[in-house]
Amino acid sequence: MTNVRPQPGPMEQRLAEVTAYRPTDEERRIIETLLDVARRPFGTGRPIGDDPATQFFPVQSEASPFDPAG
Amino acid sequence: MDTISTLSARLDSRDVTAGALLDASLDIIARQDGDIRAFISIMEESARRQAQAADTRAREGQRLGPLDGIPISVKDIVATRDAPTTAGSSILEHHMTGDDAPLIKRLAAAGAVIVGKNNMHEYAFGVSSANRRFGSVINPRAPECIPGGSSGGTAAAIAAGMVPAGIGSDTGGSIRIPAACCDLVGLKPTYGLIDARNTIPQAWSLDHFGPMATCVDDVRLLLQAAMGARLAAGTSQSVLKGLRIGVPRHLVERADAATLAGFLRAMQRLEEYGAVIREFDYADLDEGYRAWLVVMLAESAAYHRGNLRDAPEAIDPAIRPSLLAGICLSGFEYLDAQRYRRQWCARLFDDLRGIDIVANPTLPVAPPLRDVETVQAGSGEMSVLDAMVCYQWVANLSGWPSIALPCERSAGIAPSLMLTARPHAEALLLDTARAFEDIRGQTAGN
Repeated sequence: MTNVRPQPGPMEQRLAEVTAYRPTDEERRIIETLLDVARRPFGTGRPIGDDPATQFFPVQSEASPFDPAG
Repeated sequence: MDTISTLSARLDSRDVTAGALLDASLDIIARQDGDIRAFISIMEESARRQAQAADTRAREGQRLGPLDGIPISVKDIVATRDAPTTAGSSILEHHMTGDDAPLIKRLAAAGAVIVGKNNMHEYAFGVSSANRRFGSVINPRAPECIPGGSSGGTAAAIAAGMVPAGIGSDTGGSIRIPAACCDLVGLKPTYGLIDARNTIPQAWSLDHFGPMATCVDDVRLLLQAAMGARLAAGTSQSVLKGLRIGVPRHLVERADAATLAGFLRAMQRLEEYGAVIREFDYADLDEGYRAWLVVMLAESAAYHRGNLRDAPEAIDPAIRPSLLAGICLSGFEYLDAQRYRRQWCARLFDDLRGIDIVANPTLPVAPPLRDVETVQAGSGEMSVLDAMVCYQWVANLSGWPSIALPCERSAGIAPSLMLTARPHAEALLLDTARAFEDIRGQTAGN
């Protein structure tokens, strides 16, 4: 029989990419509560929308000095 | 301290000097701030230079405008060349930015005398302005209650008469909450209207900077200085005639009985002066709130990942779990929230078709006592944080301008009224708030 070291959960893995800090049990409870609220899907199952994430465009198209027809 | 308008008239008539106003401000701070803790740093040397320059201009009949020579303060989240910019944190306690933020340059260009930098909730991440490093801000109007936050130091400085007005920031109500807790007026303008460069962010796409003062006129004057442009001049109570005011029923139902009564009296006054009040409901409130939460957590964590790596123990334990939660969110989740936000905000224009101004209480309860964790709202028991934020986030998610002002004249702290308008409708918002200021009632017994 081989002893298998317990594997870190997804939260620990994610935190370990950024910080060596290990949350206390109380902090872990708060984090899980926040993530439980934050991670519920948007749009009640509908697609998030067919619009691209236009707020990330570096330039707003309506501000273009160029005439798209010309 | 008198209002900006009154002080400016006295400066115009040479009845008082900017130097004397600065002395008065510094004197009150010296006598009271040991208890109130509204300031993290006092910028006496640079303030004296600014006051002397203002007095020279006044002698030569060259005052720059109503703000020239007026002492004000700014939340310690805006970079200044002459003092550290701490964001209320021990990590940034000695952080010198080397330059003034564009917002500070605008205020200086209007002749404002910047007395100092205000205490706040660490990294703008809370509603009580309880600060481990610089001491908890005390509410001058009700020391047993929180002053609100995160711009609690700015509110306390104004409420204590140390300055007539100041600048706060608002990511989830941090201007409007302390305005409500300290019986003041606070405006969160349209997103981007006031330059946020060279400030310490909480969440870039939700952060707003705005003025706080004792009256709407002063908020207007400080806003104009901060944006470097004039708004159309306000009119009288005629703005209320035919004004279509929408009341979000599901939100208002969360208020406790005393708050609701104050709010309904305010609506009655507005109706008497010609406003048309009708109820409506925001669609998908819970999902909108979650979009705000995800964006706030993820952007905050992105800014603070260096602090979480290098000095996690130096971060307030009360805010550290939120930053760690933000680290756990994925890029997909952030993008989904931003895309949903886009849809939610677009739908807001549909929800509010036929409505000029949205009105609701600023808070669902009276300012909470210090050191309590929950309050009893109309909808049941809520955490203090949820109670303070529940009416705020809509205007941060959407970027719409929103102002908080007392519902009634009061010797204490009246329930606060929040008015919200469409983007860049600051002139209508301020005109409405100003007209309401004239017609509002007085709290019984005061």
